[in-house]
Amino acid sequence: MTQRSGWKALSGTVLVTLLLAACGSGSTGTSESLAPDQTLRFPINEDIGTLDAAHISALVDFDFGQNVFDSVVTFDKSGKIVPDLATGLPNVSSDGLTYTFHLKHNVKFSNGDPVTAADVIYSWNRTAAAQDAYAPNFSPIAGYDALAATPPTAKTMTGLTKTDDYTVVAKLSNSAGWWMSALALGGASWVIDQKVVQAKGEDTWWTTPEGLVGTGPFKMTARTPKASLDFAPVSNWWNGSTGALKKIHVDVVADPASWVTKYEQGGYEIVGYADMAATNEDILRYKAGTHANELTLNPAVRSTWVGFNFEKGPFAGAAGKDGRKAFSMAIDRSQMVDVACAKGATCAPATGGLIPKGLKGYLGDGQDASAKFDAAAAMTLYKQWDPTGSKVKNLTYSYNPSAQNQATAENLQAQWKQNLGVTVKLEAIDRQTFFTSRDKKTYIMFRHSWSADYDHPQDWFDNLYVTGAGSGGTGYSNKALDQLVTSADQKPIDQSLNDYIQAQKMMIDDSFSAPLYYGVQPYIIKPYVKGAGGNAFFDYLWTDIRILQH
Amino acid sequence: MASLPGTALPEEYVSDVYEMPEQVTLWQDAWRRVRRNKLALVGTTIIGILVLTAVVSVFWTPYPVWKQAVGPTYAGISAQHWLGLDASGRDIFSRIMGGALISLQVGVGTMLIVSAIGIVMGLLAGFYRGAIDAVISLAINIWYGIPDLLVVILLVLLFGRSLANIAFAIAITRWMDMARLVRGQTFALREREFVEAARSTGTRNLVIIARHIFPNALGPILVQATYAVPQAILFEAFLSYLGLGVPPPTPSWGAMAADGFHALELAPHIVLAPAIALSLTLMAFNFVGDGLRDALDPRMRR
Amino acid sequence: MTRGTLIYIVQRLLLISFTAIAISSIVFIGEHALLPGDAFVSERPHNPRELAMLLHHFHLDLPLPQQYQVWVTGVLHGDLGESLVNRGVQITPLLVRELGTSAELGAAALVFTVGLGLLLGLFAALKQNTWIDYVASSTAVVGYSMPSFVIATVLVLLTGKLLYIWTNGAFYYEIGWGKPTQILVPAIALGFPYASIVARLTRASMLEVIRQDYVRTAWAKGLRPRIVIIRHALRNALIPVVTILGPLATGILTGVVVIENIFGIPGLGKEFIDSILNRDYNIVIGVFTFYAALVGLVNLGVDLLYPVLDPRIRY
Repeated sequence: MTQRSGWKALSGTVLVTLLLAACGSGSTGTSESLAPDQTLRFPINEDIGTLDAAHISALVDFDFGQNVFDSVVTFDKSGKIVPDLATGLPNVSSDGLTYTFHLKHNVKFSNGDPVTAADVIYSWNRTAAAQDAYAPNFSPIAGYDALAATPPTAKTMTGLTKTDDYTVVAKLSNSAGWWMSALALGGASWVIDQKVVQAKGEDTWWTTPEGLVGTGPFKMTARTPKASLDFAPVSNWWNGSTGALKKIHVDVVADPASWVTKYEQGGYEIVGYADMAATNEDILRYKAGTHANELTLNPAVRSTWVGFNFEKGPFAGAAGKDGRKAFSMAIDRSQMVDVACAKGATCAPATGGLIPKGLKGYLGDGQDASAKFDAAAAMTLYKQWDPTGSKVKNLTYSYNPSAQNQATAENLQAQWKQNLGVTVKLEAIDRQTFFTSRDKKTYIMFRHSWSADYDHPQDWFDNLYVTGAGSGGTGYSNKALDQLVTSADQKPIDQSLNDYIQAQKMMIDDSFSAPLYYGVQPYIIKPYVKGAGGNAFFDYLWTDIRILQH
Repeated sequence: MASLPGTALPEEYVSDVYEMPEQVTLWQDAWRRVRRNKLALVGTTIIGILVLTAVVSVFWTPYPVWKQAVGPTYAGISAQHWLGLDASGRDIFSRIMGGALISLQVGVGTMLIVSAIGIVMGLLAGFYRGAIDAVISLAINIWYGIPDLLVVILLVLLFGRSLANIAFAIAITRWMDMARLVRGQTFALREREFVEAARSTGTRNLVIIARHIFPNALGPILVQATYAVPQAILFEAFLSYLGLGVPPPTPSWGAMAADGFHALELAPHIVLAPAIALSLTLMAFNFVGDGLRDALDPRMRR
Repeated sequence: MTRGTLIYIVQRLLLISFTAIAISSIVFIGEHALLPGDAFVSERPHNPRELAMLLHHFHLDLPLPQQYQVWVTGVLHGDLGESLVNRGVQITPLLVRELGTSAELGAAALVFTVGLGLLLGLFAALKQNTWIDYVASSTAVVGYSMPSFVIATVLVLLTGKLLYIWTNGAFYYEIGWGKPTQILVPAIALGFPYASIVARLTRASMLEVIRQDYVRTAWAKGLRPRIVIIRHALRNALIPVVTILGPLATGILTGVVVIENIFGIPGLGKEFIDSILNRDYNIVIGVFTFYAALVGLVNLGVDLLYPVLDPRIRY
């Protein structure tokens, strides 16, 4: 070859290479290679309770429903409120009383029915009229009180109207800084198909694959009650791609130990979705073992504490204050976390108030005086309060059984016996009876816990701590606190945060409770599954999950 | 002078090597047989150790059975903790001792109640026959059709999880075996001559039952009672496994095993200790029951 | 089938129905009158109006005798009602499905029990006082001395985890239900304690039969031992085993409850525990009904087997 042709060849090669490189970098494909079988499998320990927007309340049900339904706005992964069915965040009037939502025009239910403003209004009115757990999410809207009255005097809220087929207007009776968070939470505010509900029945429309119709990217394809559930993507979903998964299969298996065995055999891709947790022992094994990279410990927004009855029994009122204080001081939280939570893997001591770390309203590490441990002082205070031991006769700590609750209860019993010399009986009551009876203030000393619905202290105060709070179980009543909270609820969060902190300090001064620990959600995920896991509030959506070649 | 066989002979005609067979009662004979049965002896020894441990545990255990975090959780066998620590940091050896007491209480308690109900029912049905027998037999047959585990669970849930309730609930579902046995025995015994003799002298029925029939049926009753104990202990272990046994912190071997299963890979000693204790105890009672049955069975002469 | 047999069967079926209804009636009344706790609860309280609607839907607002009447009418039509906890789930199809599962498991366990028990007992009897006898007898004693949940969990550990590790994922027991191979380990765990009882019984009765004159005669006649055993001894030795088949089957049906819970098998036993813990009253009553009927039917089946095995027995 002559030198000239050599140069030609070389330049030609260089040119082709450059062209190829340019084409290559222009491609938008990911470098991940997906597995041929895009089926996600995971276990839950009991069948779902309900997926009906008007009645939903359990976290496990939420984690399913969020893939099947949508609301006007939603939370993104980092917790910011972003539009979902709406074209953008609502226009809010300057007095904060009128919210205008503009809906997207292309929204369809999974059965093809188009979604309009009428559907939004129908769904929200239905939830509000049902007056179930989350109906108060609509309490700021004008006309809500008529639906909440006994007997109710209306079935629709006057403040909820539409100006055209794609515009919903909500007039509030009082400004509410927390209302957008409540909407973004979903559940009560999910949009459902009126035709389907009326055709399949008010109570049971959601129980079959044909009836569970929503606007979300997934739909139910099969259900064997108490045994399994199957979901698949909605074809031609209005919002574009539904992600990589082609099928989701959920087993209902009661024993957490067998989940991990099956996971290790390759039967599940994830253990921990839908508010489930592997056993303490499995978590310890993973933490210390060769598969530690498969374990993720996510701080969860759950807080657990010991509640006292303020209306009856030895801990009631001002006379019971020293008792409450002594019992709380006698608990070594680091020992409890060691014993009950896999050596501190699945919970952390609650030292900064009842609102967990990471949420607005957290007091700061170590700032909760009622969470300090001092065995000697506790004993002295207790002996002062109850020198003859008559107040603690037949004292019982009541709780609903689960592995962690059981371990916690037994540790409390042991610690109170050791540090106070008091023998407390343990009473495990099945979940259903326990929750009703607790709300009726039946128990003297009981387990209480709360998982935040959204990042706003109103969620905690209005449900748990104000006078007459529905889920409080304590009968605690502090008028000053009530006033503070009512005014705080109406202000936007940056102005009200301090008020909520003050309110918590009031509760600590009253020795309201014995705080125990904040929760941690453990996920065990196969290394070839990407996009799974969760933030502090909920699991990541199924649209994000991809299963890689393995 | 020659004499009829079986009559007493003057000493000079009695040969040195000929010995009169010793007169023994059924009980002495049985005792001898049991003593020769090695397995039954082993069983008796184990039961003896069990009773001793249970009694001692009332007064002393190395660590309090309820105290948690006496050391690192899941710790293995060591000099300070002879059987290691469980998932809550409690000393397992102490809890095994406490569990012995509970097992004994449940086992013997249930056995006593079962015996009380079963013996009375069996005696009445077998002796009076007729309508009384028909009713009691019908009750026995219907009771057999009732799923016992389900009934026990339901009863425990309804009336609470105390030791007495559990023993009672188990006994309620298991009295039929004893009743059937005693009924059969009574049927046979009531035809015997000594009963007829007693009747002819005008002895009242109740006295006949108490003085003649019952003591003669005692052998099989005892065997059945011995079997009833491990049955009850097993039942309580089931209940504890399902979370319905004696409430914490009272140590029950069944509950300890149930708690320990999750830690089978992490710390096998947590489940092994109570499982072995349970198995040994059950085996011991079964061996003793077998030994008693063989010893008291007149057909098995060697 | 003779007329006598038919009459016997009808009598037994009547007794079974009576027992089943009696038992479930007792449970029904007991539950509705005695058990504490409201039927409907969630972590947040229901609105009173909602509660009233739910109570009405489930007929819980009627007085007790009327509730009972409604329920009995339903049962006679084969409708056991709706689950209180999982709305929309009809109980009868649920329990029928689970009955099939439990029956499969129970039958497999029974086959294993009788099979293994006979084998162990035979070998122990034929090789009496040798090491084979010792091993077989010890295995039997261990079998009925260990709680079945201990055996079950050890089996799960062995076949689920260790086997998987040793064979690098080639062979292992997959926890759950659906594939035919998944019935093996639970059936073994369920049947093992009862196999031990059968083994002991077989051994004892076989030992007795072997010493009988007719067996010795057959041997003396020069017949090969195997034929002697199978033809003469075995059939007679089996009679005591057949007599305990009834209690055996009932025992297996009881053990099913615990085994299904350990292995997560969706059968009647697991349903019972779940529904009790969930306070799903309607299902609890349904389970009792089914269970009582099942026990009765199984015992009837066993009793009908006797004439087949021993022609001397006739109804």
